[in-house]
Amino acid sequence: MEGQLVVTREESLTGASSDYVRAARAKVDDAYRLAGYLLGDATEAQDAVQDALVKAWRNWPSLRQQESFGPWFDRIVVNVCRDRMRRHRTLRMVDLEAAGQVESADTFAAMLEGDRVGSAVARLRPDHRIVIALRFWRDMSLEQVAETLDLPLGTVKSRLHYALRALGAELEGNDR
Amino acid sequence: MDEMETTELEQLLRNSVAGHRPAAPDALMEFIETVATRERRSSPISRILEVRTARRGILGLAAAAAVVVALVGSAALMSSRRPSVPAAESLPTSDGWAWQATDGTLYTTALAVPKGFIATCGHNSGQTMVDETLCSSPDGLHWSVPADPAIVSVEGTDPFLPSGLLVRDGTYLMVSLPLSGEHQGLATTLWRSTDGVHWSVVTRTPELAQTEFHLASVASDGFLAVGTRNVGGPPTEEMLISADGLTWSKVGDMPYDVAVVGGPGESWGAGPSSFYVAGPRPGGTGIGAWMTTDGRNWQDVSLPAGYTQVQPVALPSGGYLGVGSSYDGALPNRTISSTDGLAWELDPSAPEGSADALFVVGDRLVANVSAKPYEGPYAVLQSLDWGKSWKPLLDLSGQPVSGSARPLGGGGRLEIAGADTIVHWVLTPVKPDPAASPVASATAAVSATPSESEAPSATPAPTPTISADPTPLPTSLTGEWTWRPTDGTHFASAFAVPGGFVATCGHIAGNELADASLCSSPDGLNWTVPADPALIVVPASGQFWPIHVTERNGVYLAFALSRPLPTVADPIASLWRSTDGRHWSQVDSPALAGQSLTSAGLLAGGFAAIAKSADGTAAAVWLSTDGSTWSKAGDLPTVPTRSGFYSQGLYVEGNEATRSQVGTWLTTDGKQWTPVTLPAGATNILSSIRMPDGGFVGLGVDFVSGGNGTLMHSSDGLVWEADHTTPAGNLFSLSQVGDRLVVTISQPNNDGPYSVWQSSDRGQTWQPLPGPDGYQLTTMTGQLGDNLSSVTGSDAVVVAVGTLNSR
Repeated sequence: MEGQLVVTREESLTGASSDYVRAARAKVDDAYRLAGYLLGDATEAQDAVQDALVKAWRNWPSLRQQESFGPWFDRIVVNVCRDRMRRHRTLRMVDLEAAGQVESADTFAAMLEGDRVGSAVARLRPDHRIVIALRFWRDMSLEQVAETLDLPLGTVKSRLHYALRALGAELEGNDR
Repeated sequence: MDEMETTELEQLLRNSVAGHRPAAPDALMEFIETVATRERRSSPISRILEVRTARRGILGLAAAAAVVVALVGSAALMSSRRPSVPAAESLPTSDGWAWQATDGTLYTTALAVPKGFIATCGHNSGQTMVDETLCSSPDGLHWSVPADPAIVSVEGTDPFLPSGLLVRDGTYLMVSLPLSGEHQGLATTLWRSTDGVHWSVVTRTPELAQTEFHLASVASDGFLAVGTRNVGGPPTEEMLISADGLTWSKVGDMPYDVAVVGGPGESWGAGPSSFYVAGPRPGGTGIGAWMTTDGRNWQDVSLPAGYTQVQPVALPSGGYLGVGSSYDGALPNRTISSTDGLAWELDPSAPEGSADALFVVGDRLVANVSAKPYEGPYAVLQSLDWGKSWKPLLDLSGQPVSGSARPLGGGGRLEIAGADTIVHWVLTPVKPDPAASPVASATAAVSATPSESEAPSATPAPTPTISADPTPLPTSLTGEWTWRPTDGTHFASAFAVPGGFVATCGHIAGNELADASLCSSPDGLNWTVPADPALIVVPASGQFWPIHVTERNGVYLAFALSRPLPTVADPIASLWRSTDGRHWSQVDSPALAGQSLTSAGLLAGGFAAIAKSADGTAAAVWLSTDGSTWSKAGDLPTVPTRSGFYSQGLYVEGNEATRSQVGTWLTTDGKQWTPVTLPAGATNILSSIRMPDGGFVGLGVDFVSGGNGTLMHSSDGLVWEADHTTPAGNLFSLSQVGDRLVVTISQPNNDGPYSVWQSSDRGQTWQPLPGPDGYQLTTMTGQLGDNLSSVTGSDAVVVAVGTLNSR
């Protein structure tokens, strides 16, 4: 051991709690909006961000580049939302918003259901919704989208192309 | 779709979000604070779900329940009964059990009551339990000390220390039996309740004050108890009966000779509605055993030759199994069987060894077996065919469980205690995985987890679905681990000093470490809080919370913080120096004034520290030979996001976030820097260990993918290659203990459950590391010296420290 102690992961957590709180507070508005755009429901968005906050805290030791919290946290939020969107295909049969109980107070629901573009996006498959939300609703560059999704830039470009094409088809179908 | 259409579509999309940029609700902001107070490796989901449930409110719960009911039916009933209890399926499982770590509280005899569980909680002081306090739990997993009055409320000031419980027609009787601590020696008292929550003492009436009650069983016409009087004159024992628990009358005599002094003592054992006793036959004709169901009439019990007592268990499948024992311990305790509860014989399927305890837990039998009667270590066995076959109960890493097992409450849960009698795990039977095997699939429908308060049903016994035997430990690793459980104290940043070890101890409370104190140990196993002044004299400033301590040529250098971790406030880092490891003074170096220290360690034959400029745009290495006088060696190639001192030198890492150089560099002198090459799947070096035959083994972490770790090796510390030899999972930590490497494996993204493995061949092959008796080895952290490590439970509280003596 040469007279020194091994530096463990726990020992490197200087000010972990405070750093985490500071980083999360700075990004939670963005995360909440991203989740809302993807899920179309304020309560769902809040739950998703909670899940993401838990995951981020549990994995905080692995994030030793704290300044990169934003993209890292965005990726977690996207993954949580993707899971929720997939689950919704089977579970959304007795949901609150379907009964209209929270619709009027939900800005995300209003956006996705009250706007023909938003409602068309809501009908896209999850991966297409995600790339559109990041690119146009979160105003990310293509490079930032690639970083967030951990995908090659070329894949992001092609996915966005197909997403827009699918959106166009949705809108045309809606307009007919 | 042409370019024009695309542009229009993009504009439509950007317009559609206008006016829909709400801020996050305040509850989310509060949740950030909440989640940061949780220990990272606790079972946070269950606890955090409680927070979320509270936020959603009744409307949200109703909607959620509606969805659940529509989809899974009866599962919603469980949720509504105890909404805050995590489902067994959310806990880590192995071998047909869901595992929940406890907080290390010492508690005895947990009993099931209508609102949850009650027990006597306390602390372990040597071999004695102190601070005995009535405690409670809504679920058997999370305990409150003192007890929650919504679960148990006691009238008066008599000690209420649960020992036995009977229920009949809505009336609850409980005997308080002080066993140790300040209440030791006090008489037992009988308590009564009509709702299982509010209790009042019965035996303070003049008629009953001289009688000690020992609850027996429930007969058709009342509660049965043995009443003992030993107040002058010969002792008396008689069978008592009461319909309401208040008024008692003699119903019969004991069948054995209670006047025999110095003879073998009597023993009692209770079946569901029967009561067994053993003792000297009247007239001194040997030892007999008897059974009664009404307290009046006794039937002779026939036991195998040499056995005098039985602790029976009625099987849901019919018949009885029991633990047969001899009063003088001449024979090992054995599992015995009977079809009628009266004629017993040695059970041909009895497990080897001394079966010291036997009980039903849910849909199975559990036995505690030892080499000698009532002498640990105990193996925990289970049988899914009601005693026809037995297999070791395997823990989360596939190792046989060792520890004292008891049914928790009514028998739907199992608690596992270590040699210190601290319960470290509570287990709940889980349904077999239908996908695991055709056999399991066929039985899944009838083996649902029973309620902890339910008696075993007559459901047919599931076919055994025990997994394969664990991999035996290799013979090449001959070192023996010695474990000593701790008392649940949060325990961090341990380092060696002359004559022992020093660490930071305390208890997590919110965002802070409450009761933080330096603590010490002469051997790393036995700890004293606060620290023994013979080992370390704590500076009066209160700003000395060491994180890393290094030593060279008799000089000690500590990188310390102004507040103990974890803390919400921004701690100030400082350097401290000592020439004996005991007395410490803060380094006051003009050269480092105004800079922000980030780490310190050994480098280039002396001490080194990294400091950032006041504006955070530059960083440099500073060197010192004596820890007092510091001089700048050179600038860093990047403003580091992380640095690590290892035997081969100092690594620093930078990334885009700091608008600086990206990459990892190594220096051996603080002046010259060489880029480091890491394998695919690793972006950072988290630990590096020099191997005895040269070269290094390290832990590389892939930050980009979320923190998953990889074992890697290097001949020079500069070029690293990945090894893929560790067991499946994410490599969470790597450390060296004695002659071996120890790794912790987690699920992807550092989720539990964890398993700990050891290797003696540079990480080429790995074997499970056996944990201390009675609980699961989860994470090896906080290396305390060459041969000493601490073990962290899933709640991030250190549960044990262990030494390795290599041969």
